Amino acid sequence: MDPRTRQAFALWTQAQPAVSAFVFALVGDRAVRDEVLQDVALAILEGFDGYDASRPFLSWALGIARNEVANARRRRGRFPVQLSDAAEHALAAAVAEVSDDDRARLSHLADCLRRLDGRPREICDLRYRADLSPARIASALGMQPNTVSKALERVRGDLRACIEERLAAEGAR
Amino acid sequence: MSELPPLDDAAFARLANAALDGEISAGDSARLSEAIARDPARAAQFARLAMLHDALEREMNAAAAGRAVARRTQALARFRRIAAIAAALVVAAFLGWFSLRTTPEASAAEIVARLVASAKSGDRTYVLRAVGASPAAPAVKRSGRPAPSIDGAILYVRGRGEYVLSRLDTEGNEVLSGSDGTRAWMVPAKGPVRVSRDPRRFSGALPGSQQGIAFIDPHADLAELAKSYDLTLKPASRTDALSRIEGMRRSDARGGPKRIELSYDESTALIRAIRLENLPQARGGPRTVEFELVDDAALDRDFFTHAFHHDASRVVIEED
Repeated sequence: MDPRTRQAFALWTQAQPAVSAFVFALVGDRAVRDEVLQDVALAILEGFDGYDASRPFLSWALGIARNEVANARRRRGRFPVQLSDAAEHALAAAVAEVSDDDRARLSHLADCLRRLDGRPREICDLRYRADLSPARIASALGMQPNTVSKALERVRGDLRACIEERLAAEGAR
Repeated sequence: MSELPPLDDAAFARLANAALDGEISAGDSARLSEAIARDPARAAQFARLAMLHDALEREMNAAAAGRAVARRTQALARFRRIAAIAAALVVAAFLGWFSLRTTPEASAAEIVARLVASAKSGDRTYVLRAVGASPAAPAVKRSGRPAPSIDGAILYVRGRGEYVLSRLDTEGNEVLSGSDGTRAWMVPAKGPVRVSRDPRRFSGALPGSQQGIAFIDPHADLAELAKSYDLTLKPASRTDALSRIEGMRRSDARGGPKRIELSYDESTALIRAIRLENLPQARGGPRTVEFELVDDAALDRDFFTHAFHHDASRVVIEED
């Protein structure tokens, strides 16, 4: 691997979680997201010579991701999530802004997930590991869809609170 | 800009989560878009939430292989259904089959007997996952349209041959097929309900059904498994502490998944997962399918009848 490719690879590895979250927010489907991410990675490698190193890499990668999402939309038609062009633009700017802070915050997520057990863990497992929608989880567990959605919101709220607690404890040390 | 009032925090969070859970309507998408485009703080809020969803997916999948102990305790109930089905599958044939084998497999008979003993009849709900599915080659119906996906399908099973398979079509509508043990049925998202006296009718979507191993009829599946597969015991895996029974399709067997794996907990004799590998690809679809137990709560007495799943006003066509 030549130095230029190594640099591209290193930058992409760092940016990939934020780009992944951005693409998923636009397409709402894991398989499509993964397909788009492959195309983004390829486009970054192919176009890295045109990257202006004075600009943030993440912003550049997010721009490429928007193009690849548009290409995927042309190939596949409608996605479950349909944000307007203005919203996509605003979201790309926001992801580039919040990315560094939130990457640090999310490093505590694994620890916080270990606290999760019982039904909340099961619902979380079905949503994020088995990739079932709240309606499908409700169907599988004999619950109301609204109950599952609220349970997921509670879980995410608890996880956010746990992350904040850990950050506060870290800051107090 | 639209004249809709700005969303309050709770309403924005609800729409943002609905979008990231793939359950947002077109109207709500427009409201969410407007809020994100109009207010950078809302855009940042949505970005953070999207990153949390993404990180959750990553962590849950990364943790799955490494939390064997937690899984063993919490998943006891979740996997009971597979235990019941798979143990029933191996009842007489396994015992008979092992009795014909040489000594290395002799201890397997004891384990199988334990699996059988731990199995209980009851209602079971599984989630099916397609592994290695090719998006470019989805299963195709005779009509030429893509078949509803087996990935994420939910399979409900009771007793002998009673099942309900719930899949989503490409537009996200639920397509149900099933059997009450005597009559098979299909409840499409639109159009008439079809009913047949052939209990195997409409079972083609079940992984392994073409080869008689659909994991819905213990006795028939058992006979086929014993006839067509060489079965061996595997030691407990380091990653999940589960022992395994592996079935390799015999060279003289016709069709069927090349490899079948039943994973079970050595201490409780519960079978916790079933994996069908190298499924025939002639009609597209996934190469590998995994069954994972998610619930064993009793279902309604009439759950396996077609009438339970549609309005009385739907047209029902009796095929025979």
